[in-house]
Amino acid sequence: MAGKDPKTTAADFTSYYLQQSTKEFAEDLDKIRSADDFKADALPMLIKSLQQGTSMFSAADQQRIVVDARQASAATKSAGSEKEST
Amino acid sequence: MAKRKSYGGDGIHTGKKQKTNHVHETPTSEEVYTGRQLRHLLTFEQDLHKARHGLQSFKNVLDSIVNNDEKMSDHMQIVLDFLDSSKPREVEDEVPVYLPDIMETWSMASQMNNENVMSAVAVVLALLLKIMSGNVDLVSHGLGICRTLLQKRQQELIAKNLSADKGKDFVISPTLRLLREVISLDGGALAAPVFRARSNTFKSLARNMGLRYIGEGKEDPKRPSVRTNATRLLLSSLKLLHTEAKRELLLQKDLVAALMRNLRDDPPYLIYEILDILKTSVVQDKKLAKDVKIKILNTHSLTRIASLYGYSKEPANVEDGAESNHQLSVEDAAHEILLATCTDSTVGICRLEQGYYPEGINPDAFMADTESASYLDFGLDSIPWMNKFVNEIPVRNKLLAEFIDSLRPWSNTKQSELLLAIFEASPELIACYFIHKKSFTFEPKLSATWIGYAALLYSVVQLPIPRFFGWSNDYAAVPPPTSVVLDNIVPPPMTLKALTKCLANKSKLVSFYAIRLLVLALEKLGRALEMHREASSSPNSIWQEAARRLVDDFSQRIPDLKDIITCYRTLADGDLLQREAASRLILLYYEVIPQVALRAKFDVSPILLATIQKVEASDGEGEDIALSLLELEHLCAVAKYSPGMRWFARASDMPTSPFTTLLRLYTEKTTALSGDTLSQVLSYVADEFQLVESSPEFSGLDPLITALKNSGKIDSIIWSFIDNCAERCSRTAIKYLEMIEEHMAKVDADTQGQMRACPLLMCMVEQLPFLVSNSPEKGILKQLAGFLREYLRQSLVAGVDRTFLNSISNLSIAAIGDKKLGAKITLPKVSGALSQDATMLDDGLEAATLSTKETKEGSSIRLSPQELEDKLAVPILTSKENSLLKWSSKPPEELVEEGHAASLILLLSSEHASIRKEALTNVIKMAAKIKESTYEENEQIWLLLMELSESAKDLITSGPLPSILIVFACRALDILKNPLYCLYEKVNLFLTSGPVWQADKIPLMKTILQDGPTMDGHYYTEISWLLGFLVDSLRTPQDVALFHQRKVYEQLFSLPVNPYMGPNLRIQVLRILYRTTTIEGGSDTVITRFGAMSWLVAQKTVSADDMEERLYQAMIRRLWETSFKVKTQSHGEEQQEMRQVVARPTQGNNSPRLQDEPDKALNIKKKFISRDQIYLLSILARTQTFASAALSTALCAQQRPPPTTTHHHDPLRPAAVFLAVDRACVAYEALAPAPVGPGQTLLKFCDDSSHLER
Repeated sequence: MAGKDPKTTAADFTSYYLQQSTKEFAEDLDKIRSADDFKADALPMLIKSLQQGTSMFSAADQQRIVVDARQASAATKSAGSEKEST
Repeated sequence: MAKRKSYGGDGIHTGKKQKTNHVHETPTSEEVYTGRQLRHLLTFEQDLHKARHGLQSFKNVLDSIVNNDEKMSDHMQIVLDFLDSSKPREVEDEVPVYLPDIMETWSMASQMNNENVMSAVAVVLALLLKIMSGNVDLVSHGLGICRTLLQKRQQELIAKNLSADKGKDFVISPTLRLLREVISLDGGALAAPVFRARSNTFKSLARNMGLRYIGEGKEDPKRPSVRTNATRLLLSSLKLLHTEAKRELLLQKDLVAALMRNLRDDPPYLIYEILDILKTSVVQDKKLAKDVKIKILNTHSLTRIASLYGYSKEPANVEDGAESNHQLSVEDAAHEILLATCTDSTVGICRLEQGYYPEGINPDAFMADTESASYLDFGLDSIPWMNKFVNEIPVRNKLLAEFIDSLRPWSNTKQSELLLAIFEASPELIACYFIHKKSFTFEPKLSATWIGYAALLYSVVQLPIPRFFGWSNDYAAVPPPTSVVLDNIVPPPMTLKALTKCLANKSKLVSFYAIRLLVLALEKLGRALEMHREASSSPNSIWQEAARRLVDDFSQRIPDLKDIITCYRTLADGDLLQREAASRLILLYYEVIPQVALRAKFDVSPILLATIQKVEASDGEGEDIALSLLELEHLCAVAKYSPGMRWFARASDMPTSPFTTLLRLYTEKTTALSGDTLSQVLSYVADEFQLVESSPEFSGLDPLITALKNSGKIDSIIWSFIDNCAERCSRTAIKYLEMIEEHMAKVDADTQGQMRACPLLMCMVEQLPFLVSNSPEKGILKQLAGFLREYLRQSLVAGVDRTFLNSISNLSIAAIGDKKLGAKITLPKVSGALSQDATMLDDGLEAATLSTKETKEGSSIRLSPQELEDKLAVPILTSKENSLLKWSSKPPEELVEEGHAASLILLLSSEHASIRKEALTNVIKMAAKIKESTYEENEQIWLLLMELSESAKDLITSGPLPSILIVFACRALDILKNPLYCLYEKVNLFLTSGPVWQADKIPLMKTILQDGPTMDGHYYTEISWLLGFLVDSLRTPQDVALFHQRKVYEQLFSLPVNPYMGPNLRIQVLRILYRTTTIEGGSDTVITRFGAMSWLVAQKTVSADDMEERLYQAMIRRLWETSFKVKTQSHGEEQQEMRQVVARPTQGNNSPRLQDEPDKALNIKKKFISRDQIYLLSILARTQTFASAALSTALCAQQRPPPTTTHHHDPLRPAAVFLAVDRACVAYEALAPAPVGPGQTLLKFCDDSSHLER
């Protein structure tokens, strides 16, 4: 399952993390964007702050979440579609 | 001659936006064709109009050269001719003046205050020098002009130009340009002289640097303002001056201030130039001392540079095109230089500091003198500064502290980056920063600023703890102030109040951020505690006290676990990140601060169950499942820690218990995704509840897990069956252990010790008939049979005893009742198995066959308990009949020689008080009788008996006299009657040393063992006497206690280490040990206190012949069988280890012997240092009494030649003994967690120990 570049894994995980957090906190993020003190520099700060959380996950866990899990679900899906086609 | 063409006033001032009141007259000029003409034009004239005309014409020529137009080469020739012709002649003793006419004109203009000419001269000279510096051939001429300019007279002219009124840019700017050309000419050859003449050359420089462009729009780079020109002059000086002059320049406060003032208002190209020079010529100049750099890079300057953050990003490049090719934006350039300045201690201004130790304290001061070291015993509070730094922390980098205070890291990512880089370089600033930043509150509010705060705090908590808490190369004697460490883990803005509010906030993002911060803080606390442990030398050290205080204070600063749990419970199923973070936090509470976590009395089971169900039912994207799985793993780990977790209880809405559900989840669904956590938790639970028997290298649950994985999907009925069995087994593990024993009763008891069984399997077999009787479908039975078959095979592979598995397999077949299915369950036979099975089971089978073989051989040469008794039992001394009365009729000689006296003495240990009293009276009478007689040794015998009676007088009233005194008296009698006996002197010395014998000491032991023999060559005779004496003195548990107290066994065990000690003496030692085993509690004492087991194992390995080897093995069994505590109270693993040692048969003639074949010693080493022995050695190594065993280990592992001198004394020296024990303990510590190859470490230990003797 390994063999993927750790950097790519980290980047993939960060993008998944951001995606998931925007999903979970959509409402709150909207509120912040409409706050008075939300200026030009605030957006990079907001993204940075969200992204910081990725450091809580070890490289192995990141690998499990974005590489292994994707492969596993892809395998189940393809198995499912094979069944359907037969 | 062509008419001179006149130019009309396309002068330099057209289009100038400078608003001045000065009225410019447009200068006139003419075309120049020859150098001669030029020289003529520039000849000194009283008429300044004419002079200006000439200068303007010259300027046109120069402009043409600078602009590189079509007439450039002609004009260049004109200039060359002119310079050639005007070159001053070299006259001795006279300073040459270059361009004297122009200088004269300038002087005159200055006198007349004609600013137009004053400006024109500067313009022309600046242009001329510019051209010259680009032409190597002209440089020397240029230097001449420059030197002329540096002459007193010209200096004053320059000064006058520079100090022209503020509005006179047209005078000041060209002069500044001229000076810059002078400085830069020939690589700064004249920079120093210019700087030396600074009272003139730098006249009004600070003021001029303040003369900014004040027109509308932007400053035109082609028409730089006075400030730009002045700044460039300064920058050129900085660039070209040597260190010493640069230092002096930087000390000019007004210049530095003028340079930095309102930096933000400068045009981008100037800012680049300033930052560039600061970087290359100040920051990166290693010769420049730090205190000089600070003159220019002071707080004020740094703040000015930091003000460039957020500098308008409009590209400067559009307008000034080629002039600036900077890749970086102004902001980036400023960031870069600030980073270099503030974080690099080698070149920047950041100073080395001492991390978490505040400036000015020296924690190692407590080491130096013992007085203050002893005062550490009073704990942390005895350190004067320990509690001083709560509200104020002195730092070394004061400048930086002041500077970072002006940053706004929460609103700008770059500033935050800078601040963190500074923190990382100077950790001392972290706590100090937040203490001063009072306005920084973390009260929750969904705003950009709060997000900025949270991001900053996250990064700060994430910063690593400096090595050794910032103290130079090792941990200091004293820990850093607790408050400082705490402020680094939980920065002051993270107050309990703020955090609690965050957790309760209705915004999910706010509580999520708070949870993440707490996760980091707990992880950091864990690391800090780890470092405290590393630093502390003993469990009671001041570091440990600091660690405890840290945990206490930390607990006060963070919310209760209950708040976290409440927050966790409110999360929706889809909040994957939040659920993961919260569960991680809960786990960290249990791992890092269990004392706080356990207070919350949190029942994790409902949440765990819900999560299990969620993961089971989840069909989302792979990533989401993996994230939920992580959450589940955290919860499982929490469950492992929480005492109230009911692993085997079935919840109403779940088909199986949490344990089985997890097992199913792990084996069926998530195998590919899970880390080791789930299987570890499952194995842990299975071990804890004794479902399986595990060893350190191997989990007993693995066969089941592998079998389940291999079986594929199995029916829910089978799962409930497994669940039911697991639950039963967990409830009544003892019952199944007993059942296993019953089943195995027929198997040879020898193998029972090392046999591995599995209670869960036993339980399954027991329950199988009930399942079958419910007549499930055939398919299910088939599945069940398949599963059982797989489970049995995996167990066999894993090393579970074959006999046990066979019996389980037979029982299963009987229970299923179907022959066809039953056949499936049968274990493969040793020979007739399929090839696949054969390979799979290879190892297991081999192990099984080997063990039976060994067993057979072992039993054939084993000593029976009866044989052992014959060899080692020594009859207990008893008194003859009628001893009380008989003696009186005998003559004194007979009393002693025939043993009547001894017999009477023995009565002192009678259990009847009256007999003891009677015996004592008789002893005294006997003493009197002997004394009065003519018996040769009457005096000594009398003395002995009287001392005995004196010692016994008080003791016999409370109970029998201690055996040691009685037996000593009897034995001493034997010696006294024979003055030639080697111990005669020692006994007499003992008798004359005091009137009373102490009941808690062993007479003569010390003198015999340590002082050496009185007569040469009688060492072993004395030892033999002592051993005989000791074995007789062992009669009651009190005697064992005395032996324990006086460490008799320790000394006994070290005796056989002496290679010259004969086999009979060794057997005598064994006799004492054997006698000990016959006394209640004796075996336990020697096993647990003196490492007898391991000693025997060691002795067995080095024993000289088979008989002795067998004797040791039999003794091991005897010890094991007679020990009560060790058998009943040791844990499963220890027991198993013990059993293995006990059951290991002797090796017969195959055993290599150290004495016979030294080349096989290595083998012995390997064989001897086996896992179980080490384990025994180490669990028994709790006291120093283990020394002998440890040292014999060392000796036997060492191939040493026999010593050349005879040992009279105990070969063990005390220091070496302690060292050996110490090593053994260290080895144990090192071995305990190692899963494989523990022998390596002990081997090394043994090798090291071999030095001990030298």
